Amino acid sequence: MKLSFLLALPTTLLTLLTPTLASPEYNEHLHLIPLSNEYLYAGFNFTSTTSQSAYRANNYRYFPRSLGQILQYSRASELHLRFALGRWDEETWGARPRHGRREGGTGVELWAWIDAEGGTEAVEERWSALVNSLSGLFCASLNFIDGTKTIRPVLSFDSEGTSRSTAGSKQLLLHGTLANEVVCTENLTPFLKLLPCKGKAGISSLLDGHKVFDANWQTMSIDVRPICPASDAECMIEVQQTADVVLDLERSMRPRDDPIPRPQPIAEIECDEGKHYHGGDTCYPKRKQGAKRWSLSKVFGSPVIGSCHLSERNDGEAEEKWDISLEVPSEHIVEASAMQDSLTSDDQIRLYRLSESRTQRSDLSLPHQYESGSRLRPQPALYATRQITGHGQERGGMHAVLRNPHPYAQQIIYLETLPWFLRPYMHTLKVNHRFNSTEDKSARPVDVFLEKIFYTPAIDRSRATKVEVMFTIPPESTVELTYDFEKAVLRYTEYPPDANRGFDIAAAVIRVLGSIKGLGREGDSYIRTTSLLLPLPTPDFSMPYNVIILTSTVIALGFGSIFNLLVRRFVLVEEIPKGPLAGLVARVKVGLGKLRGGKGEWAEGAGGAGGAGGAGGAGSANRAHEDAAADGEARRAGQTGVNGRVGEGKDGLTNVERKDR
Amino acid sequence: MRLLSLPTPLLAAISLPSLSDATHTSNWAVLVSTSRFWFNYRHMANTLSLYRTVKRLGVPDSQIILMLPDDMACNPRNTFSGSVFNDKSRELDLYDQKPDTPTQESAEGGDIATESETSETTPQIMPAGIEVDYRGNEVTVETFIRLLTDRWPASHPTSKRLLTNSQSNILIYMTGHGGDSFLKFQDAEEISSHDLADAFAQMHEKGRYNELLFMIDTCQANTMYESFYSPGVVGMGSSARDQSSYSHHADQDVGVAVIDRWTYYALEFLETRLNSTSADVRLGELFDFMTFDRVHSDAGIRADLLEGGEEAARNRRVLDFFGNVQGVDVEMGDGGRESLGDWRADLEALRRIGERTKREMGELNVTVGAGSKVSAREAGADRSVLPAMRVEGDVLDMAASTGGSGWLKKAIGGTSLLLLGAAWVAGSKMR
Amino acid sequence: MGWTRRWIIIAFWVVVACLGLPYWIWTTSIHRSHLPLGMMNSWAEGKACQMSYPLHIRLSAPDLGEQAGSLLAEGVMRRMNELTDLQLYTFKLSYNDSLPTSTERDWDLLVLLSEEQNTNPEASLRSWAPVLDVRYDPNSDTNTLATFISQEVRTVFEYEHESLTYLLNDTPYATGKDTTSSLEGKTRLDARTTRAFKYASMYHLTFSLFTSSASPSSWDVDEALNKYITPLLQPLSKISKFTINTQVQLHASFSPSIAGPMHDATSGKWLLQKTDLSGFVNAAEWPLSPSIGAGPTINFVLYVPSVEQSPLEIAETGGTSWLVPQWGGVQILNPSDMQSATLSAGDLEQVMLTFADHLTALVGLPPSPQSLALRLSSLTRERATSLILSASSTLGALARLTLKLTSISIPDSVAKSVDETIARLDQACLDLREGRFDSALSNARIANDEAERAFFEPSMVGQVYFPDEHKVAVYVPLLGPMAVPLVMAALKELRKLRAAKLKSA
Repeated sequence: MKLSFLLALPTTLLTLLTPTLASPEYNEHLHLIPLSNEYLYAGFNFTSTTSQSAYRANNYRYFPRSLGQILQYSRASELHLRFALGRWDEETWGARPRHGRREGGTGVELWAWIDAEGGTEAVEERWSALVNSLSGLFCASLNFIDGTKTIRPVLSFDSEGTSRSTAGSKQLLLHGTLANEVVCTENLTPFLKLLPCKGKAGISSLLDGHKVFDANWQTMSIDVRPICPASDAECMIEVQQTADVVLDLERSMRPRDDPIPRPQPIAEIECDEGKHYHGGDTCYPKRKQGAKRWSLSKVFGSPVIGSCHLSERNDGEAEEKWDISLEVPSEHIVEASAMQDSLTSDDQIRLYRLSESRTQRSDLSLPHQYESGSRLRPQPALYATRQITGHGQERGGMHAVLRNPHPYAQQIIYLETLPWFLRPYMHTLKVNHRFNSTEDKSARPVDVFLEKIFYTPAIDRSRATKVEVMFTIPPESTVELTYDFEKAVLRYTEYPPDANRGFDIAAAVIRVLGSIKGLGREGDSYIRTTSLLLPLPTPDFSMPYNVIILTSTVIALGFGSIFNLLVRRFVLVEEIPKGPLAGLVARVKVGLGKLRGGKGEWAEGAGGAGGAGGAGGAGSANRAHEDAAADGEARRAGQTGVNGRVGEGKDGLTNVERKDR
Repeated sequence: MRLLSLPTPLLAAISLPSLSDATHTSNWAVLVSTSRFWFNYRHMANTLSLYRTVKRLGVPDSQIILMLPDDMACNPRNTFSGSVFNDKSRELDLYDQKPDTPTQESAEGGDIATESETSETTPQIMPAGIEVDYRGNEVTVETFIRLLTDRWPASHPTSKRLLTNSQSNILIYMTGHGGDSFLKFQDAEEISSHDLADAFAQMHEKGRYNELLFMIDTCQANTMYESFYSPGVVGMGSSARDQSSYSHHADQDVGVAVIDRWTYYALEFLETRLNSTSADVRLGELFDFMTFDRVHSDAGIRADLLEGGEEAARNRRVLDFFGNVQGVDVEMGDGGRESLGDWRADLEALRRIGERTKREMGELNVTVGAGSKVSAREAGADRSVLPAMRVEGDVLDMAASTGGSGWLKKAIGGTSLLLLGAAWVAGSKMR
Repeated sequence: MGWTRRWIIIAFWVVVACLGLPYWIWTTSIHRSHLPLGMMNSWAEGKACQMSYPLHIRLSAPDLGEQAGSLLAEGVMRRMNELTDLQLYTFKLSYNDSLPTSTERDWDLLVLLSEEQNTNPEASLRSWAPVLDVRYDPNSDTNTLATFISQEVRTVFEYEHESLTYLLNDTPYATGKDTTSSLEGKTRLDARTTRAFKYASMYHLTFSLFTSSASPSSWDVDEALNKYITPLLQPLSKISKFTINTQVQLHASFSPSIAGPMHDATSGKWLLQKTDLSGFVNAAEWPLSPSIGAGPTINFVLYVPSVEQSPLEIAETGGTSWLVPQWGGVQILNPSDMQSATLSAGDLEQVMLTFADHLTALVGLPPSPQSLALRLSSLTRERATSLILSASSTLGALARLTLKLTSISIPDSVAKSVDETIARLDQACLDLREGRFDSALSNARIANDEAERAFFEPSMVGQVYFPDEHKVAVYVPLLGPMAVPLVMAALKELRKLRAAKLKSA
């Protein structure tokens, strides 16, 4: 439990520290944990604070000016911004760092408390101002977070700041997500620009886009919050930037100019003699034992350059006060170059401090260890997955599975933001659980009592759906949350250029309340499922004109036939005075028919039709239809052994006369 | 003689640089790749190469508008994640060149070295980091036209706007898949040369540029600038009508072609000839560099819109469009000194006056120190309301046009159909 | 019988004519609200307003007699208005021997006469009040005194008149002959205009401290600003508002594009080449992003080199500060030996004074005459003029645009803004002609803003070009098959009608 407490440090420890902060202060910290399967977790943490008065007066020192101005312009008192990529593998890596409080769903996630003065409209305007200016600052298309992606959660998020409640100053929480946003170097660059040392000195010099975005899991967060000490000392504004990555040691230590894995020469592979087929020509590569050797300079591409010690450090031996902390078993060998090191009281964690010089290069390197480096990681509070079920272009279903591995019940809040074109049927919402132990899956699952539901239905093209459910997961049991939904059909212009890829559905946010364990707000932990891809029916964008022509032809056909039915008169052939030409043609045809005989009969009909067409003269456009019709008639007549002869009507009207032969 | 002393020495400073371009104080660059998807890697690389060049030559990021419709660096198919290369030697990472030794010394790194020189010096001349202004689905024809004509909702961030005036030169580079006088955006829509011409016309009307260099690398590129009609526009294209423009070479490890010929040689020229911000290279040399046996298509230029025609265009310095030609006014140290003495006196007096007026006006005006900030905050506050309100307005308008009047149209359409039906029924009854 | 068919066909045609066509026209037409093009063009061509600047000069001589004083005033006024090279102005002099209190100000220049025994007359301007002190010999005759005063007043307004004519030059508002005196003067005005920002009602001032090392890491900027900048901002704030923000940036490195300072062994100094100055500000890495909100940002950069690299100077001039036109000012502060972590207001004094100097240049304050108050008022006049000019040119641009781009839609908001603009322009012009320069400025400001808003109306983006062959491709398949039967039927009926007529006849 101590470990998880450590992981919660940024939040817990800082709230402990805040009363002591007086002057604007900055400190940075890097936390390293080798995870199982040759993975390395690196958690960067940069915290800077400034006094509220300086903030209000726009005098910035360590607090980034650009961010401060945006916040004041949009009157946001607290801001949380997340960029996330990849997936945290709970099964093998255990609990999430910082209790999942500093990570977001895939893509970009943003929530902020905004001054509610002036009513909802004013707030929405401030919100749009905020997202727009943030999109300019962080090179992300945050400006796409409009009404259709914004919700107002009730239970899921609490304000982390402590502000003196001045009468009438009401804050409103807005939350928006961009699941389809790609996070890449252009987002890291402004992130680093916010730091006092600009990624040139101190641990931030390790943050290199090539490594960070090669990670299996990566998340950047920016959190701004006011902190008012209980004593009436001055309030502080704190900005905390974290960047957490899980690096694949193997991959990240490949040379940068040649990252493609190539087969080793057989000589370098050490074979497993244990195999019976092992011989001179066959070799079964031996599995590597123990922990890989690695070093900061190899994993991050460069050693730590200098240090970024700005604020006069009051040497409380709190871990935060050191630059780097490494979590390996005490028996492991660690070679630290140009760093002053120490141990925590329980010698679980090694602490390192960089030298004051600016150009000094410091490095940490761990030689190959024989016993595996990763110590048992604490179990996550929950295992959560979510899938889309069903098939077809019209309907589908959502299916979330939450497994509670612990012997105690857990109270959670499940939050989903659904785009308007995914329309859930709330009456189909089912939440039921079965114990992990039960073998027979046929056993009917028990319904779970939903303590609270906050549901905002979507409005087409203007508002998103919000589903917020609060319930308790019994000990050691699995809860399934399911509902059906309907897929809307978009307008032609509403499809993105890569519509066939599908539409991203933002991750579900699960808040596990710590209160049940008596931990209070600090004990809360967050888990986010992966985001989903929703396939929607997509038209063929490539050839609109074909569509136009087809439809208008159909319309024209319909119109033409109706019109002709209306304006034309049907008469018998007898009533038709034979024009000389027509009679001649008919006679010729009869002759032809004689020549051919049997089959010729319906050919005659056909020919007659053709002749009629030929004799038609004016108005051939609609006549063509009629001929076609007559022709068809004649064929059918011919096939049924009935001979049709076709004559020319006085106003171009034809009909079929039937008589036995 | 406090401020009188200011301009006279300035004359010297001003007159020297401002002889060549008295009317031109800032440079802007709009670099657009218009094609999505991995197999169009090379278009992204083209654009990023240009981005690197103008950045290297000193155009600040705030004056470069970079439009990338897709993400190549962090694309799952990219073996070199976080990198984009424009050459199979892979010496220069276009996306984020992290200097090998980012110490201060190297950052000041001696004289400028060209890319073709040893790869140690290359990273140092390249400013690290990248700022993409428009990416993904933001890159549309509408966005581009809005950018040029600066017609934005009020809450649009400053860093994503083209805030030029009549004294700024603009470089516009576009690459993608095009045809006879059109260029495809994201394989979903086209911008035609007429749209561009009209946009430029609007910019000219409002005096949004001094001179404009339009470069385009696509098939039948030269047809794109044929319909321009606004003065001061110089067009450069990679291939004539009914000609394709070709990619230069592919990188086996990346798996696709990494750069187009025309851009490749344009870069080669810029890298080898413009190796410092003081290099005096003329545009004509760049024109002449694009020969057929290099580009494998007829690279074209159009300069008749420029005052002075092609000759004038040839005599423009390349840095007038690619570099940052910012004049500086240097004051004489001593002149400054003694003027400062008087300033001190003045400010003293001003402060006294300020206090007196404060006493007189009392509440009316607080000192500007607090006052301006207060007003700033208030202004900020209500500005954050007002413009946003305009945004809302637009949104609502759109909603209305799609929703409200849409319904009206539906209704009318329905009635007209009904009438047609009625007419038919009537007709059939009458017989 | 035949009539039935005719009725049917007629019915069809009626529907087509009365429903189809209007509906088609209505759906395909673009909403273009009516603009007063005539007015707009007349403004653009400068017909709508004749610029002139009446100046009210108040003569006050405590120890000169009433009628003597008024005589003198008339004399001066006559001489002033006879001046040919100040034709933009009309001078109005009034005499009042009671000293005015500073609150009420209905005059642009106060000429204070004071007697002084046997001296030939001399004049001096007060530097922070629009007051011209004239000392004269009581027993010198009025004419010479009047000539003298008129000469003095002339010198006061000479420069402003020059720059005003420079503004009006090669605009439709230009007044006949160009009186901009010398080439030298022209270049000076060129320099001034290129240096100064375009007018904005709000400027953001950003003061940044960049240190190449880790110290000094803070500065006592608030006090320094209050002491040296805000007193200057207060009078300026009559013309436009200012917001201030400051920042500290450590470990700031030069931009890679410049050669960087060279060490000069002889003087033991580090020297920056002038060619490097334009690239000195490391735009790629220094966070000098413009501030949020309307209005341009004026950057003031204070750079403190590391102790190893100091003293740092500009090679040619040995100065340490320079001004970047339309961007801001840069000042190098070489660290003193006793390097402290914070810069006190005292250390910053000289820096702030330089910045104040830069600021005046950047907001376009004219360098002469010496009196700050006078310079402010003349800046007011210049700004009002330039705003009127830009607003009317914008109107012209909009007018031409609407005629040229027929496919662009014009929402009503544009028309509204245009009307507002024209109204305000009229008002501003009137104010100008009647000497209410402050209100002229505010009106012109609103006019300009409205004009800009009209031109940059976001919904006024021209629809994507739609060539005719596309239209054919859309309409032919739809209309062709439907039109042909209708037309044919109609023709046939007509033919029959004629035939019937012939038969009956």
